[in-house]
Amino acid sequence: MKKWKFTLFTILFLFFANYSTALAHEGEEQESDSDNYLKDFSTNEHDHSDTEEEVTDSHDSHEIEGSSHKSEGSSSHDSHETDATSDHGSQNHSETTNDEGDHDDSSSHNEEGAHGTFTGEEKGPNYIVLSSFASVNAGFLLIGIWNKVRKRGNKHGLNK
Amino acid sequence: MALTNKKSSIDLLSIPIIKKFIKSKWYPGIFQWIVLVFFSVIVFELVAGTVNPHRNFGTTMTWVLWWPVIPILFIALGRFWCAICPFGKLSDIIRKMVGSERPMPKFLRTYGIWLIDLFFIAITYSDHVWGIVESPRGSGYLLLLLVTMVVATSVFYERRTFCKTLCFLGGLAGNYSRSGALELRGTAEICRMCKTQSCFKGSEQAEGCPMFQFVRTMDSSAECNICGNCVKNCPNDSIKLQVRVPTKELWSLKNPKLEHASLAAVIMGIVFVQNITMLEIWGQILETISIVTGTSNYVVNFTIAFIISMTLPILLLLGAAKLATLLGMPNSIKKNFILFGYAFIPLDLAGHLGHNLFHIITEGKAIWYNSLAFIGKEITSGDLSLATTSTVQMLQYFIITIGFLGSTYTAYKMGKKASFKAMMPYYGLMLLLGIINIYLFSLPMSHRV
Repeated sequence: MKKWKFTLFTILFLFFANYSTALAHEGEEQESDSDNYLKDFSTNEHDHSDTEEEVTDSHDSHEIEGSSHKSEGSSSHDSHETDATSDHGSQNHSETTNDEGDHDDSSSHNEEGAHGTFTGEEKGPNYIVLSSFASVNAGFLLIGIWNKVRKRGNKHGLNK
Repeated sequence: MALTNKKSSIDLLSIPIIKKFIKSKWYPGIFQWIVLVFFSVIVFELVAGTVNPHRNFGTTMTWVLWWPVIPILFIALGRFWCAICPFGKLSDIIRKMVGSERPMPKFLRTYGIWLIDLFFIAITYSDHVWGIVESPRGSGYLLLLLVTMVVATSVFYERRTFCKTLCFLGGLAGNYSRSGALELRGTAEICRMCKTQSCFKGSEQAEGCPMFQFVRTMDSSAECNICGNCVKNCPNDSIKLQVRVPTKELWSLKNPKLEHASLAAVIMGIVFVQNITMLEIWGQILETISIVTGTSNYVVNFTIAFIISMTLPILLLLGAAKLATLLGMPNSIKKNFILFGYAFIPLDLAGHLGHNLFHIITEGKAIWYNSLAFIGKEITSGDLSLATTSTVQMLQYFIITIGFLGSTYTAYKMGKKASFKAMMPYYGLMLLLGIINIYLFSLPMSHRV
């Protein structure tokens, strides 16, 4: 029984460690997207030379009635590490913005009220993370099948 | 005995078509399979679709549609969502196929609700740190993590152990359903004479209560999924499904628990965090914290803001309990803290609803656009909002006012024979929380999509 518990603990530990890394990786990806966005914005250049497809949100032109809403990127960055946006990437990386030099977002961001400007790169599924999930789940299901088979065996006296 | 012998409330099971449907094999299976199919599509879109959250069908359906709708479901139908939840269905399937059906471990039975509270806080925290809501992949991995937990628990343990002791939504669902308008109870005279106890044990008709509830002693809707198993199993037609006045269950709690009261207070803190981080003053708040901490690290500064938000309602409740005791409220401070913590629930619900109303109304058309895009029909999209910001704000103020009245009335009913003077700290606290919520809703917010 102790052996089972240890195995289970090890599987869970490896899995959750993997999951945390995956989420952190996601965060980094978001941050780098945000960096690109801010960089582009500050230099007013959009020369992505990447071969990967650049995504431009077709909702960019959405205007919200009532001008009190600011878009996620529309708050002033004002050379602080912290800004008033809900975009975590840009919050985490306004230092990068500083490196790029000061810029007045409030005058340049001409999308007050526009939802979700997205200029990141499209990425395919992360098969490493997905296969980790699949294998852990398959592992649990195999344990379940093994338990069933063992129980059935016990019932029929095969273990005797 | 927590049964009903009143005849004044409306019993939905007295309507033949409803009773027939709930007793049939189609309930809740038909809803479960539909939701499971939708869930699979959503997960697929999240992990393999576009990484643009504004265009991802899964992100829109999860965070713009499902999350705002869920508190409304809890108020209207109790934990019916849990009956049709894809995780619950997955658990049922796995247990049927490869489940060992071992008894729930003692650790989970004892500390399950604390784990639920912890997971809920951890998920909210990690959303802010890693941006799960804004990241389709992050949302997808979160759902897959929950799937893994469901698979693991269902392979080993009986009934819906995951839903009962680990689901992060369980605590929220339980607390909100206490204020819900629907309750399932047994008929006192019939249950007293019952020898079969098939509502708990199960029968050929259906398995026993998946949430480990025994109708004869069930005095709360917090753990009832309204899955209908007890209705199918009961040989004596004892079960009643009644419509009640929302928040009524909170007025006379028989066994209030610290973990539920704490969660109610913490949810208030989470609503604050959710609102504050979407405000334009959030930058200023972080800046102030960074001066104190001396670091510009977002995670450090956010963690401090998060801890303050979580503990603030708890400290306020504790302060109110102490003051009330000093002013002549019977019972100890701890007992008063636990009991009146439940009075937060209507305001929690109102804050949660008000916050999500903003998303569903100002981003609502994204559901339509992204659904059309999902089936391959790109349209030139326009404004995403369904109403003006001022309309949303008016609705938010209205909802908070209702929540405030609900919480104050609940506190009043809980106070029973306590004097007005002794109750003043609680009324003051509810008023303060109501004002804070209204103030936060009066400030400009940013969007999810």
